[in-house]
Amino acid sequence: MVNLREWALPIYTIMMQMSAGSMLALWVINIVVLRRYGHEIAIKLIKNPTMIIFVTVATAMIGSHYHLSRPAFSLFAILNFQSSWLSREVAFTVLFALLVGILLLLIFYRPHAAKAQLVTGWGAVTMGVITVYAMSRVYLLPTQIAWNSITTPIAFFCAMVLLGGIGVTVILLINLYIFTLNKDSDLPLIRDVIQRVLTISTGVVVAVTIIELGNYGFQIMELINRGSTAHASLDLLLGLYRVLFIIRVALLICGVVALVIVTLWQRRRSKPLVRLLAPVYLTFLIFLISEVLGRFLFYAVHVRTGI
Amino acid sequence: MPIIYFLYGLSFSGLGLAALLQYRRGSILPLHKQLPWLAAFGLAYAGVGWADMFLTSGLQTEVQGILRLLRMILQPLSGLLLLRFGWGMLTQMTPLPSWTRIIPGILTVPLAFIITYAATTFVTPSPIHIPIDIWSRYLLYLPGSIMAGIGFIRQSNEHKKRGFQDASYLMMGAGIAFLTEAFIVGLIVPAAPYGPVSYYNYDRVHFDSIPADTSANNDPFTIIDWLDYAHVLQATGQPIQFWRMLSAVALIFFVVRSLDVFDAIERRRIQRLQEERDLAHSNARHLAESWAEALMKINREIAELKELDAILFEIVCSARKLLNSDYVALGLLEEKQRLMLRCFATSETIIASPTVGSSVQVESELILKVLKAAKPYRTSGEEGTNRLADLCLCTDAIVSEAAFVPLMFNNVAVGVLWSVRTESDPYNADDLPGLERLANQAVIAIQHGLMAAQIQSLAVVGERARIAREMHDGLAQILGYMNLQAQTLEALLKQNKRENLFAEIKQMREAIQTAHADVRENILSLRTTLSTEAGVASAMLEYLDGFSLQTGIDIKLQNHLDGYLGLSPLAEVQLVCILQEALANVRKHAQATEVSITLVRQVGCAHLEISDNGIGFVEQADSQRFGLQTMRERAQQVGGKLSISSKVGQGTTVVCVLPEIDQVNPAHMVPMYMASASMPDPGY
Repeated sequence: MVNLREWALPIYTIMMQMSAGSMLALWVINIVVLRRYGHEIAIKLIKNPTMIIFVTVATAMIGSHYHLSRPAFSLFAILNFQSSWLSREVAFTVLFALLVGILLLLIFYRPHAAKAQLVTGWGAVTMGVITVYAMSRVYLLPTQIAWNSITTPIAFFCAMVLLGGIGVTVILLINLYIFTLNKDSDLPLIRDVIQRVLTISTGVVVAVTIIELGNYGFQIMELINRGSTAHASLDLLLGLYRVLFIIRVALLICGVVALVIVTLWQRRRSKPLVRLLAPVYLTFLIFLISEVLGRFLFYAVHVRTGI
Repeated sequence: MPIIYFLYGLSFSGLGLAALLQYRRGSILPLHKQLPWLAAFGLAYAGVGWADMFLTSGLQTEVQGILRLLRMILQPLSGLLLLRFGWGMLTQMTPLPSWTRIIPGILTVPLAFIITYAATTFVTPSPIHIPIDIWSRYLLYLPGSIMAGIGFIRQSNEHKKRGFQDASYLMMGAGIAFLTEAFIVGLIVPAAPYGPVSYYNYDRVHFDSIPADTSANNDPFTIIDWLDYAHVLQATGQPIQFWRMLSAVALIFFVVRSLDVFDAIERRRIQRLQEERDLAHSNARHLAESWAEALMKINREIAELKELDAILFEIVCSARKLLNSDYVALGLLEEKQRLMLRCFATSETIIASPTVGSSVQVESELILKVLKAAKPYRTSGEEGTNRLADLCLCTDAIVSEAAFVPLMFNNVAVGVLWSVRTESDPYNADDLPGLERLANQAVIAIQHGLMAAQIQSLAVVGERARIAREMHDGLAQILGYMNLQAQTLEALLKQNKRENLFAEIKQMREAIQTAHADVRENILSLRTTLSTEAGVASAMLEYLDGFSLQTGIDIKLQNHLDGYLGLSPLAEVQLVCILQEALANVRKHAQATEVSITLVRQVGCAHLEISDNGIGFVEQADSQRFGLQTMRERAQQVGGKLSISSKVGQGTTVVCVLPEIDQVNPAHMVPMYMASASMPDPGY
């Protein structure tokens, strides 16, 4: 079970980044819908996604405890807020979870409190982004040559945007499926919104994938030029874990190609959006596996330098 | 150990073959579609078991390498086949509840982590076949067995609902066996240095696997390792492979027995079909009997010359019952070629309006169309509401389906019989011939009514002729004789021959008395003949009383009837006339003081015997006595016969035998010239 405990970190980081990214994407969509179609449509759209984001954050927080030797004392970590990025990560994670929870309560019990929801949502987005930044700063350690680079925050933010964008698209498609089954009166508007979300998120995913691939190239270049410890990490990445690395990159490329094909097929053939649920869901699964594999490699190739 | 693996492989190969054979036999059950996957899984997994058997029996290294490669291919393949079978059992047999749609969404993240985790274990130092074995079990056997188990349990519930109790138990057993298999085969895997494998394994050290990691016993999240090879061996005295083999045998037993359900259900299906066929035959026979019974009843009423309206009403009532209709009506053309409603019958659910009994003209477009085309017609659920609106005359019923047949008389449609249903239940092709038969009966009834009327008028004409003849033979002769006698009396009076005068007057008085008796007898006969409403027997009794009073002849009647003579109305009239003729002969010629009359019903005939104690007469072969000849003709006219026996000084006996109505030949009832009779007035 020892090695399983190490998986608590990838679970936590990936799920938190996915939650923060989803919150960001959802809130951008919310703002656009609020301006174009009004509060009623907006709240109809964000209700289920907010709930799923909250469950994801809660799962990530529970999962993170499996990494700790003494889970009961986890909150004491915030006592070093002033000096430790780990403490800040824990604190911002808690704040993010609280704000998403409050937003969820507002949506369910104060559905007309638009302003309070708006403020809380923006707060949650801010906390999510800060959490991801704090998370990345935790790994910027001088003793960990492979981590101590700009590539780490770039990789974390790329994962956030990629999983958040495609994750929200999948959730909205599930929403659309439910609305279609229920023959919702606002179905045309919702369909219009989701159509735009799909197009934009596909563009974002393509861009982020390019950045991620570039980031890998940049990371390999750095490892080549940063001494023997970095070389050891590079040997691990391209040696022992070569197959996994190839699978990681291949899945990333496959995912983005599949998403682009699906989006173009839908637009050109004017296929019903609900028919995209299964392919986009599979694409999301590919991206998720790819990102989890990337995070595994992130942890696996680090070599500590010094004492 | 090789024996255990051999039996293990044998069990699954048996499962595969059983499933394959059952699939080839064919079935309509949804489970049938999943059988190829089960068969393929059984055969592939048998290959895994037998590969293990050879690997543990100490073969050469090269052969071991080939077998291990084969095993590495067969194991994930069999796992995939089991997963497909389980998916089919779970999702394609009975629709899943709607809430299960969210399960893929919930499983997305854990699945992604598990797949990634599985991928990372392939870079550990353990041999490649170990992670293949482990993840085949975790990712394929475990979910496949769980899905198959749940699928069988759901099928068990379905069969229980359908009343297949025995099949339900077997399915439940198969479901539990699959879930047990999921636990034993899917969760207990070879040893490897990563969790949870390091805790739940059967430690196959003979496969070069790495011993289980025991360094984490103090870990707060560790689960006690009670399922490893050593613990199971210590606790049960048998290795875990042995228990796995037993589990497989239990699984195969329940699944193969469950496949017997196919046969059981097929047998029940055939039995049900046979029962349905027998029921259909029975219903058809019953229906045919009902039709025959109804037609016979109508025929009988026609032969008995019942009132036409009563017969037509019987026809529409029979049609309504036999066709399970809500409304049946019959319309006849009248002189001005207007179709008038003659009678109708309704079900209890339809209430007739107060216009019943008044003259109602039929104006329905469909009915008039059938009358014009002179062809049967039935609706097929596509008629517009307006076209069906005015079919249920005198009611407010809303028509859904209707069938029409014309009443054909000498190839001319003279009316329509139509049947209506208010429910949407179209008449089928077999209904129209039945309705046509009833329409034919209606036409026959109308023909018979017409004939009866003509026979009655003919009888009146005949009776007038008889009275004229009687008057000519009796009263006219007497009056002529009286005229001559009056002239004789006048001459005698002028000659003043008093003695001769008195003698002539005496003869005249006797002649007048004879004429008076004849006239009174004729009056009595006419009254009796025409008053048949009270029944022929009572009419005869009444006549005999009058006859006895008038003539002073003692009449002894032996009436053995039970009230019903069984003769047609015409035959009854002829019987009374024969009796009157016979008694008139007795009065005129026999000089009898006593007459004995016997009336009895025997073997389909009515017997009338008239015997007197008069002087009798000598029978002659060429005797053409007018009264006797008339009696014979009357009997023959209604299909009967008459015999006369007499001896001088010993009286005379007349025996008349007339057939009952069921025995009579229609040729005797319906004169040929009646066949071309024209259509009667509807008001008849």
